[in-house]
Amino acid sequence: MNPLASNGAATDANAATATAGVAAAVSERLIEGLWVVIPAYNEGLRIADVLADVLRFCQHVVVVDDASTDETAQRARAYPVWLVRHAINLGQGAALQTGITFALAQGAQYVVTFDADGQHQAADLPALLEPLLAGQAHYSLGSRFLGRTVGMPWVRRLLVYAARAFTYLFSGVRLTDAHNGLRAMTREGASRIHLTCNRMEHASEIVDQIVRSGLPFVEVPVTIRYSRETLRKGQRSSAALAIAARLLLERIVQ
Amino acid sequence: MTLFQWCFAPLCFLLAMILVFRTARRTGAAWRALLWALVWLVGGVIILWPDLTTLAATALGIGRGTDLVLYVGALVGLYAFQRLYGRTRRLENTITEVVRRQAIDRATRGPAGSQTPEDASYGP
Repeated sequence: MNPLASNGAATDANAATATAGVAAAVSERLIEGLWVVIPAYNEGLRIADVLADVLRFCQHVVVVDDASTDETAQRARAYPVWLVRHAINLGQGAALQTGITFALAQGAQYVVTFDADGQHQAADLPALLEPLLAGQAHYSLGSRFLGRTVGMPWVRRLLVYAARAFTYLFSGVRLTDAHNGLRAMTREGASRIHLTCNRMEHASEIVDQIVRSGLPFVEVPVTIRYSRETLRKGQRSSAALAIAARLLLERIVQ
Repeated sequence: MTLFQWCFAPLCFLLAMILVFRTARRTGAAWRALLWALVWLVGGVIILWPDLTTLAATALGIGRGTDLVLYVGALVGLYAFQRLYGRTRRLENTITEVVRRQAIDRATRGPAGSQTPEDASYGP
């Protein structure tokens, strides 16, 4: 049964039934046509836990290994997931787009982007997907500020606030969390995304493309967990300036 | 004439001549080579008669000849940067598409039933 179709012409009495149907589909934990895209670069220590977590909620997972130099690919191969490997390191944006392209080619009806570093929780997937299944939106964006953060350094918090202001300035959209990698989109929404920024600038580019698609989007509370290892491996706070500069360059020159 | 004029004016005229002779042997994009030849020719003339830039600057309402040269140089440089950046990005996009296509064509799937969580059910 397609929950979107059942919500199409609901009367008041049928609306309650339709909403119950959506809740039931979400609570089944396995949603037909759901694909999770996990871009990964040197996440050999964390990928196994992430896959074990995600596979509790989804049977179609694609890991895009962005030319890792550790055992990320080997660890991923032990799980019933698709593994797509870039021959050279291109960046998270490129890996994300590769995963989205692959999932759509496999017939995905819903695509979720999920980080490989353990910051995201698969338990957030049902809430993330609910607006899509209810036909309320084509994009569902996770927000740590509507939800919860665990172990987030204050410097990182400031940077995310700055990213939020930057996004409002240049994309004209108010988001509580502009750079959250946990997102869900319908097939139509995913097909309107085509990232050309290979590195971290893709986070702003994807917001731009979501806004320009004209399709409805919502923010959903999610939990983001930081650990010493992920903070050490992740983007340096000082790199934020370089990312902002590249974004400005893209906008001015292109 | 100064040492600078002796060294660089002939160089500019030589580059202009080379481009004109090359144009005679090529079949396409002659206008581009001739344009560059003109640029080098103008460069050589300015080196030999720098006061010409002052005349031009005065005619345009700019104070000094060197300011005019600076402004024109900056504008041309910005234009060149934009063209080069755009070309670099297109090249990057092409490389990305090639790597992506190859990666997708070689996608593999892990063995079903291997190291699965205890409560997983994968449906039909």
